[in-house]
Amino acid sequence: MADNENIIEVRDLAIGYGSRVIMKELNFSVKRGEIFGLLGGSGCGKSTLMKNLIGLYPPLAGEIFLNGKSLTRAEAKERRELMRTFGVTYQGGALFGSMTVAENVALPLQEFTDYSKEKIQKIVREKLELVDLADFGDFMPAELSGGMKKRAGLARALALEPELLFFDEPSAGLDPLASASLDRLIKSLRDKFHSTIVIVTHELDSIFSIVDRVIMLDKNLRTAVAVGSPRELRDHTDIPWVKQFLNRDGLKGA
Amino acid sequence: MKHDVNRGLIRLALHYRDFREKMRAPLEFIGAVSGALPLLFRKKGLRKKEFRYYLDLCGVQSLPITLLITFLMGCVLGIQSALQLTKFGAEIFTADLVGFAVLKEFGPLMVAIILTGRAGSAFAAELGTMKVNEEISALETMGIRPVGYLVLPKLTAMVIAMPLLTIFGDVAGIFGGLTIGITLMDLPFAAYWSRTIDVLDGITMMLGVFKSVVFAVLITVSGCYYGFRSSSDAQGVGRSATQAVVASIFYVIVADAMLTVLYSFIGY
Repeated sequence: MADNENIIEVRDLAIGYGSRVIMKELNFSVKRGEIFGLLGGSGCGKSTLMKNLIGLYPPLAGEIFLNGKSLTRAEAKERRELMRTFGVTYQGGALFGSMTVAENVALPLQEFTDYSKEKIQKIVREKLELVDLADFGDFMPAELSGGMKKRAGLARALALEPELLFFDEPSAGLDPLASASLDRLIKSLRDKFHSTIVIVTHELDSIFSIVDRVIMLDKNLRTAVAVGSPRELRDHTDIPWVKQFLNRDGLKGA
Repeated sequence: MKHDVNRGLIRLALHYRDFREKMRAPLEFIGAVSGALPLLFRKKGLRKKEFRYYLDLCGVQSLPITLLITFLMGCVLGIQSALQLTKFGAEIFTADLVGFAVLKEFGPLMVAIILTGRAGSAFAAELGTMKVNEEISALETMGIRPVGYLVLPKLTAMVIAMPLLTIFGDVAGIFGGLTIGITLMDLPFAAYWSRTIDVLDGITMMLGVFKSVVFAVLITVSGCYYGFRSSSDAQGVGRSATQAVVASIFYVIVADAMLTVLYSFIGY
């Protein structure tokens, strides 16, 4: 049985495509209320790991527990119910192009609640205000900038107020100011709403400013080589690659 | 010799495995679509806004081109029939030939080909692009079944639009034949028209309309299947649209042949 303190528990996980193993023997857990980072070099399998954690790809071996329930062994219906308990923000926002921003945010509410039209509109307004897009509800996704699309995607992910949120490279393609603003927003979600957040990122600024613990994925060894707080790993690890990765310019997080 | 036989058997087994894998994916997709059909009877099962959009795309917007093509097809059939029938002094039977050919074959077939180009490829490209943009992944992680959510509005719209377009196409095709009959062949309008009314009946028209329902399902399922299978890049989207068109036309013609044979067994 999985530990209740851990919102995610991963046991002996192997991930990949068909017969190609990308990562194996992954064992880690994510505690409630923490911001957890998936880190590693390009092509090491961070995004694939996230897609396994959110149930998009089936693992090659091992098991993933969400809130103590096995995502891996769940039947299709139970799996869909488990998937509704978390929100996902994709790299490009993944907004539905045929709907306005407000309609995108309203979609999960219309699908999974019996709320009245007025209540849905109220929640949509609140979520858009939270991500600073209150005036953009009537815009089509194509009319938004990259950063705005990500924030709109976040508003949609927050619509059902999930306790667990996944972010795939939230800072990718953003200028430093937009990136810092998104980092602040992610941190505020944890602080205000006690959300648990799993984040895939390359950005050292983000790692040191918002992430509590990270798992370091080694492409060559095809497994995780370290789990811990980014500062602790940077200052005390014996693994040269991890030290080098977290101390790329010697200034970050200083 | 024994070695060659073993190698041949291994190759055969590998081909069989590949064939089985290739067959499994479309069958799984058909299963998923069939499994989603009961959603149509639920309160939030059919997305009405999308349904109206596809009904407009496949039906209303396709009407002018359908009328034009089926009218021209009726003209072509009229000319070809007249050329042969004049030899026997049987020009009036042009009405029979055009009427039956349009109602039973060319009406549904022409509409199917038009909608394969307009809707089937559009479905594949739309779903392929959604895959590239991770919109399909987003639906899955929201706990929404993408097949039910994305395919049902298209399927319902096509199943309604295609038979209606076929009826319009039938009328346009008959008028094409009529135009040739009264202009090139100097047949009286009343004679051609009354002959058409005499020989054609509701059942003949319904047989063609039923074909169009089958074609609508084939075009939608093929378009959506290739869209969902598209690789996540721009080339993949183009490829899936092309595959959808080629596969749809193939399935439509195979289904048409099968239904025609079936109709002939029951006396039509």
